[in-house]
Amino acid sequence: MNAPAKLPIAEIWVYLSGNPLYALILTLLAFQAGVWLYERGGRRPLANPVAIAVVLVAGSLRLADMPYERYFEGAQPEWVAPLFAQSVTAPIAMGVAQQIGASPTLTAVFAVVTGILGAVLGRFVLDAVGCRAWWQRGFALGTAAHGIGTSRAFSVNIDAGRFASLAMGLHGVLGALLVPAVARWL
Amino acid sequence: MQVIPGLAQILVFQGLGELLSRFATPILPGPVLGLIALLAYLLIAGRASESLSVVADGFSRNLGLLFVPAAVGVVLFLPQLAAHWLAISAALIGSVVATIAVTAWVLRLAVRADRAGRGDDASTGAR
Repeated sequence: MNAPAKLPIAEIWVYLSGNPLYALILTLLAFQAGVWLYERGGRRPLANPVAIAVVLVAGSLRLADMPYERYFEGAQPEWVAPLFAQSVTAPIAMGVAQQIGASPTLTAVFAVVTGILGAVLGRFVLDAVGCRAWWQRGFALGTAAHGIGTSRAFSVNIDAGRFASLAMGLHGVLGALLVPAVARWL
Repeated sequence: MQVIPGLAQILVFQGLGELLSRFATPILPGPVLGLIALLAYLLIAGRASESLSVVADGFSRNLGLLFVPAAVGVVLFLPQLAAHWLAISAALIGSVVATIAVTAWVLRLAVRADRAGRGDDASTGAR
């Protein structure tokens, strides 16, 4: 290939979609766009950066006719996997899903949707129940909306963010102990 | 700003957790055991190093990024989700609202009990 400018579009695309780096770049750019819109929009809870990124990536995959499995393999290289496991709620949810015969992928989707919903609705629920102290607001968000709620809490108030981290960790520990026991009864 | 020492510390404890999970207590996942071990270490040490704080805060602020690939899996289930959208939305929204409200309520009760127990009236909510 000594004339790269003459490569047909399709051939370029085959190269791009075959290389995991580009799935990672797509994810990072979509998330960057989500964060940018979130910041520009005055950090309103409804403009959740994760939700925006998911819509952008899903739309790109559909446009490019790229199967989700191929994207996911690329977006999750070995060095991202342990970091992902750091958000304790996801592997616990997926482990429990396997125990009770549910789909791990669907469980992960619901876990993420729960996180987005918590980050979006948190402010309104907490205002409605009259919870004002930042550390309490963060703790509630970390409990209900794990990593995504923690990101949201950090963007609003540093104390809220730190207590959201704490709640997320505690929820992870207690969840790992209690959820399998409860799942046996369901 | 030193990033490597904090990152190394986190990964060493996660590795320790994975080993414990594989050979000692398979009930708990490795990252959870690593988290407990790191917390125990920090309690004994009495403080977190600056590097660890920087790395941990940086991850926590951007945790959302790590959920994007998994969430895009929603495209696999669009037909099923569309067929049951009402039940799914009701379950997800109901459980999230209930979790946030109940957590806030329990915290308030616990803070009140704590203050009554200590007999002090420090009404600052900040910690």
